[in-house]
Amino acid sequence: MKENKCCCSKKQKKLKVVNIGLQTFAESLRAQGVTVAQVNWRPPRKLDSEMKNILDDLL
Amino acid sequence: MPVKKVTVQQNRYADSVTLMGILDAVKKSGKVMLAEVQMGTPQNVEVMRKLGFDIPATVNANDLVIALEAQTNELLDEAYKDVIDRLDRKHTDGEETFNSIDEVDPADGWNLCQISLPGEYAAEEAKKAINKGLDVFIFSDNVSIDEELQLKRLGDEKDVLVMGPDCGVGMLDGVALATMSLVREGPVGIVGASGSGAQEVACIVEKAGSGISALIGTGGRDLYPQIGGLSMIKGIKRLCEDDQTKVIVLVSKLADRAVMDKVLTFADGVKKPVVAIFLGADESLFASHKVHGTFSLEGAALKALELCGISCKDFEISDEKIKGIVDSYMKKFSPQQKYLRGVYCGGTFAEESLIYLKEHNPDSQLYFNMATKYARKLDSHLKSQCHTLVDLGSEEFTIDAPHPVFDPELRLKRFRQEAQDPETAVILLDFITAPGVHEDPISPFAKACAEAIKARGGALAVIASICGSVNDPQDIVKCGKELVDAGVILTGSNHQSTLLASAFMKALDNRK
Repeated sequence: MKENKCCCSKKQKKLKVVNIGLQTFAESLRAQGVTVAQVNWRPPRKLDSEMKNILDDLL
Repeated sequence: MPVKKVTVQQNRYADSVTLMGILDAVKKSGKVMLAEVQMGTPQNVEVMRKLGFDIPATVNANDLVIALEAQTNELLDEAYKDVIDRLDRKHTDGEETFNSIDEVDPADGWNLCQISLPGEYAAEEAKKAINKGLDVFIFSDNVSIDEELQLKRLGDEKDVLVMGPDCGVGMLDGVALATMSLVREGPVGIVGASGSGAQEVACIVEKAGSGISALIGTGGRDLYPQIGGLSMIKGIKRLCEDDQTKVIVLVSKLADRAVMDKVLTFADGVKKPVVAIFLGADESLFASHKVHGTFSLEGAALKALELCGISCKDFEISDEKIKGIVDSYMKKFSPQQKYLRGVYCGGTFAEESLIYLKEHNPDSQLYFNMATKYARKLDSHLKSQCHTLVDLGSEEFTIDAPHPVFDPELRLKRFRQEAQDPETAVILLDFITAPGVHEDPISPFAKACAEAIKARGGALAVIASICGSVNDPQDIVKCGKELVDAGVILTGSNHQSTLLASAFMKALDNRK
């Protein structure tokens, strides 16, 4: 098994989780003693059609 | 005169549970008369406009809208500041945060990415995490099957697990993910394409005295022909490499025959014993394979324990016990009481019961709220006919109400409806406990059961099982006692409840 892989024995106890989305899931993991980092995710900006056409032409 | 304020934060996302918490706190502060803090989806914008807020036409689903009304400008400003503080505080409690997955460095030990974004964004983030070599757990649904295939192929290439999309439960390194029960550790490793089915196997393993090494969810479509069981095979490989796992259990609903054969053929080649439950499969599926085929979730759990050398004969419900219970109730039922009614919150449990009831009572008039080969479809999902099972977690019920594992109210109402039907003799219930579901899913039912049984002078049989762990915050021992005190027949599993229900069906039909 690769060095960093999680699964499955608690003896290894090395799960480190990046959470994107529901904060409650991160809180549930922290309550179990797991190191969790939350991603301050923002939706990608939607290009307006004019800009998209310009980019399509360029690319 | 009341004053209103609408603020739009463009391109800012916050999940619905967080927003509900903020909204609740601001309303309770007493500073506002009206408050909405929502993503700017068309539905949310419509609600806010109906409340009299002037929402700009340019708002879209990627914008966060804060709409407040208060008696004075001072109160309005205070409430607004409160909302902003709470939105910002979420990410500044001393825990490490990232502005995007691009900032994550796996060399720092990060090894799992848990994603619960709206489906349209989930695949893109999952792809970034897989490319960094992280295992991914995707709770989000509404990810296309093409995207799922791409992610799983990429996962294979990078040697990482892709759990999901639409994966509700998992356990890795002894840690429960999403809505998984806090099952204790042990030698049984599970790979599940059915979340509640896999959870039931895990919980029965614990109830029978042992524990699990891991539960690797695959998402419900993994055994579709397009996906070909990629995550299930990957999960088996991972469990083969894990020292703690002594036996592997595969859990799925009935899937594509060729894919099931492919997975079983792979399982035939591994050194550890493998048990499989593909709900609804017959013996022919397993005839040419080495794996131990089983036909109920309980059967799979107990077979796995047997292979670990753990005896659990006492766990099963005996024919004598079933006969004794059925006989005692049949004496109490009036001639008008003729039918079984199952009121489920777990779709897999409803299906497990339907399969058994159909097989063992082929001539009975059995109905279900959805089209299935195991029962006739109800004329209306709102009214039972003859023997009926309903899954309150299915789309027709959840389209305008929360799923019953998060809010038991709708199922409680249906329970009371069945209990008051003079033709009802037996009611079948399932319960699910875990940190991620309703904090008290059972007490309201225990109270309703006690009232219903009393109203019938004891001539109403209510059968229930709890899929959960003793370590769950709801405490299944306490919950079980509440049900028993209310006069409910509490069984050890949904399969046991079904065996009992089947015996009741036979007895009721034979009496007609």
